[in-house]
Amino acid sequence: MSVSPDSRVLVETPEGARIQLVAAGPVIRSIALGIDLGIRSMIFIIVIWVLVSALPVEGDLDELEGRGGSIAGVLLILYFVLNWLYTIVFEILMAATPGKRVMGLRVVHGNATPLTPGGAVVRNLLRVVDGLPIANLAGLFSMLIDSRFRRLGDLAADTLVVYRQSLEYEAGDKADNSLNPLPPPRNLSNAQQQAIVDFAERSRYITESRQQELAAILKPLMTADTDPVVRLQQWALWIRHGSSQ
Amino acid sequence: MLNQQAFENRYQPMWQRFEEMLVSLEKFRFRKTSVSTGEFPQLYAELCQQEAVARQRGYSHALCNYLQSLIARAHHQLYRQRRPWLKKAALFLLGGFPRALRRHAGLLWLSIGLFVLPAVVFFALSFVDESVPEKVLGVSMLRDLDTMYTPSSEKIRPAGRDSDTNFMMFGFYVFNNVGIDFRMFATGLVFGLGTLFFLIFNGVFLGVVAGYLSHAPTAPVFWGFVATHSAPELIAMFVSSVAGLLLGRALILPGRLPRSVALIQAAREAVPLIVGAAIMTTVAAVIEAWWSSMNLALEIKLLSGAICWALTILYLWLAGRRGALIDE
Repeated sequence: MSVSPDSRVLVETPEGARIQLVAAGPVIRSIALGIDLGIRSMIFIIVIWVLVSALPVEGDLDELEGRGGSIAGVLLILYFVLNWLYTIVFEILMAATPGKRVMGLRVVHGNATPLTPGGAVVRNLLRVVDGLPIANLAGLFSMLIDSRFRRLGDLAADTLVVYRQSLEYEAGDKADNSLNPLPPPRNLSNAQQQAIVDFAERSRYITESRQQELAAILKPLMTADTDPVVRLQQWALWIRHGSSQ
Repeated sequence: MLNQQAFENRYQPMWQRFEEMLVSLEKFRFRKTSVSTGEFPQLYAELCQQEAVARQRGYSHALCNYLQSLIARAHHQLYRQRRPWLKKAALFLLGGFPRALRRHAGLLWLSIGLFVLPAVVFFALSFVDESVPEKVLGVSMLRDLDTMYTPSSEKIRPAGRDSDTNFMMFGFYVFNNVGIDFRMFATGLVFGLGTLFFLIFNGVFLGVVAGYLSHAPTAPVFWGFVATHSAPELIAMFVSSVAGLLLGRALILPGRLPRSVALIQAAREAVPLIVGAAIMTTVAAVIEAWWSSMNLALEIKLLSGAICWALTILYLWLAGRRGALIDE
């Protein structure tokens, strides 16, 4: 297999399945953090607004003062909840804070198993240390020197923030009927065959000119008058279907 | 040998079905259905085998990646823990938490020592030498303490504060004290230094305050106020410091493990401690806001304090000794 980009983490499970995780880097995680910060601030502001607008406009000053005390109590508790419990609770319930979810991220353990409640507690309480000395510098530094972008809380909780992948694939026959399969001009190794099929399957995500550019590499194997892109696709069809079809 | 096309044609209906099952399992629900038996694990096992075949035969990357992503999603569903959380919480409070603490009795005594030693020394200094509290706390803070704990100050401590003020103070105690517990734990990651700092700092601070207030007029008010809630509050502080010291110890003395692994293990052991400490501190906040603030005779306050200390210690010492084998 080809060399993977270094943000990929391959985990082999006891049942022999291989799971590929793609670790999320500091930039996308900072954006998720920003979204969460926004959500938390919005909640706080809305609650203040609701509580204050529910206060009577006129009335006994003592009573007003008492109500003010209640409001202060609610706000202190709310601040505590938003500051400490928000991330923990969301990560326990759905393995991601709303910000991470929006950005398509989730938290898993290093062996690709789902995040446990204990893991969520550790990685989020240790945010305090990641925030040292200022502006999350410790966490950022840890993420930059770690091969899997783990901040200190992730190191202690054995967690990774990864992309939530659900790949699409149209299995089955999707051959372009206008093309007929052609065998490649010589025996190709498995990896070479795979590369050709990969090219054909990905070609709809690649611009026309880039397709030309890529296919031109194999021009020496083709007769002069053929369109290299078309020929490659014919070879791919042949590899996929075999000569039998 | 099947070529890729025939392989896909044969298994595609199964992949589609499996994907539909996944989509329905991935919907957010509080109560998840169990997938640990029946068709799902069966299909999962077949899928793992198909992925291995596809990879070994060199089928295209798109196909292999697709199968891998199905496996990853299914793995996530299969290994999700579905335990009745209410029962789990009850087991935790009835035995899991005290047991977890007793496993680290050594660190607990260390924490108590690191707090009590400076507390006693500075209590004595501050009690004997009037200039000490002024130097440590500053004049304005001493004035605040005087107004708060002088018996005649009806305005600050009327016969029972009104419920609004109590609630505000409850909010403040949760916000401040549980926050300190969490910081004590977290800063243990800095080789235990943060935890040590909080312990010693609190020991000095509370020692000076207690020494200053233990003179004639303020003494009964102060000691009556702190008698009861101090039990869960101080002990919870020791518990969270044990959690923090666990992290620090894993980094300084990892034993025969690599530091990274020792840290992961220590953090896992610290979880029940910090959760338990947070619960204890919240209980302390309830007591502090509604009971400690009541204007009752000193005898009643001291009696309730003695009961509370005894109950807290007995709970942590004895609870969960039977049934220690119950899975936590």
